[in-house]
Amino acid sequence: MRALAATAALVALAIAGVVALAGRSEPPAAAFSATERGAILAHGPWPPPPAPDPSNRVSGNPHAIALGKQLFSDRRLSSDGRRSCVTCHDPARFFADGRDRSVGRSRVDRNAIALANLRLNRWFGWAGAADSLWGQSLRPILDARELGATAGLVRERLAADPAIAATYTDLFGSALGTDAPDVVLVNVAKALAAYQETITTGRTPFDDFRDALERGDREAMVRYPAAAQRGLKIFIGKGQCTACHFGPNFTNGEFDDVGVPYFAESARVDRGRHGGIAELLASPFNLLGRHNDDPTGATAEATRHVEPQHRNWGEFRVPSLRNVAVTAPYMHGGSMATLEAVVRHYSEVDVERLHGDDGARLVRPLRLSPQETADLVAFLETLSAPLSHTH
Amino acid sequence: MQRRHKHTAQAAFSAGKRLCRLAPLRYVSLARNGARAPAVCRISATALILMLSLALATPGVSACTVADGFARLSSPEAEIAYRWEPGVLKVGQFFAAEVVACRAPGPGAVSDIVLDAQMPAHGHGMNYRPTVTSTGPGRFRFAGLMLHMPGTWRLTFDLVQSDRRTRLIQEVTLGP
Repeated sequence: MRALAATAALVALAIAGVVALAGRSEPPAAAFSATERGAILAHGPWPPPPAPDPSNRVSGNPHAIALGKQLFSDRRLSSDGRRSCVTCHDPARFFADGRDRSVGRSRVDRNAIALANLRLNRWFGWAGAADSLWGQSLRPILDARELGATAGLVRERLAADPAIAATYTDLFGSALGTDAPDVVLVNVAKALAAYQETITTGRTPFDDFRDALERGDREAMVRYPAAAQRGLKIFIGKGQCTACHFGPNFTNGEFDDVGVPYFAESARVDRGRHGGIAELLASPFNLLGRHNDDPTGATAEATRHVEPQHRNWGEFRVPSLRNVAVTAPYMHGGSMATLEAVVRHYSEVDVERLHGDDGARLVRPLRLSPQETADLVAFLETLSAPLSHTH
Repeated sequence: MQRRHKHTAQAAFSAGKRLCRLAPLRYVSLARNGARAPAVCRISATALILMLSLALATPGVSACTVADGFARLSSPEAEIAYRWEPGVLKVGQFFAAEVVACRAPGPGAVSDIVLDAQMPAHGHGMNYRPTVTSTGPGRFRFAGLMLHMPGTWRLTFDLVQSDRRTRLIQEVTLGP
């Protein structure tokens, strides 16, 4: 009994020593309330189960995925034969390009979004001008500043490739050379989408912590850095980040004005979501059109009910935060080079810059201390993982 | 014991008869072949027509018979029954709503219901405009509703009768 008491005393002293040492180097790890625990668990589990896109009849088809992968780096999709999707969505850079604003045939207004976990999106692009991945995939092909091709040019060039023409017929049941140019363009975009759907991010240190929290596995939980735990507490609490960045993909899939300048040039405004909705509704390639393969029409529900509102001016997509630390720069125009700069922006945001009539109450200066800023960045850094291609 | 029971039954029958006379109803026993059975107020065809006419002539009142799964929302002025599809609201997911006007104050039928949602803490509404279809007198189905942020949403149901609007409010709090 005496030996047991002595051992217990030694253990207690050891724990106290560790705590004291830890206290000298940095603040302790966060403790989470039941409410906070619920908020954390809502960011998983990861990965979500794969699900094909009903609007794309070749979604999940291995032959379409292979064709899409080939076309993704095929320069014949550009008017000058010098560029492809890879120009701005480089697999070696997590399918982004590291530039503030991408450069195709000319410099565009926006930053190249890293391509991953795209099946989870409701809208595509910084302004949501497309409502499907295939609808988004054909936009850079046609954009004069990007690949600058036409549907006719795409058909002409690909029809001259017997292997691609044969695969096309196998997949879509018609001949590439005789299909209408817009049909060929859509089918090429559907193959590109089938490939891009397979690009997903792997499990992160946060996912391991989240699952350990769910299991009540304290041994696994302590492996998650203390700074990241404190940052997570800010993320779901004081930072109010989960107003927009929630769920397994850390986004609500919508758009908001967070006080980032929306001038594309000194005298030209990027309308953001307002322009995106107008472009979407005018597009013959949206999900309300004849190219949607979903016979139920369920995939078009968002498109049926969206319409421009005044507050959409200057709103841009709420991006996923998965792999955020490896996909700088940030914001729609790539105006922030580091995660520290992003956190500082929210800490000191100038509410006068907010254009929407709602933002003043949603986005407010967080007034984070240097320690809190560092902790929030430490948390964001735990959301990264290597890409995992399912095909 | 048996007599007392019979006496009680007779008393109950008489009481029921008196109660039925309050309305233009006929009180009848459901007994068959001498068996004991409950008695009910049976509505005669004439009485039924009279009651329906009365209901239709009453300003702002509409039928409010709803299936299981409807919730009620009321104020001193008005009442609706509603249900969501799917039944549990989740942040960021589209849902539909069936809404039935049960009671409204003004003259005339409820010709329309305007369903909207606001987030008071943030000062914004929904990103989507729901579509509404009438499914019968005072009955409406809304599609394309979505609450895109966690937190407290204030759903408003505006019951429209000619130039009068009566608002009912339901608050819903969604987790992330």
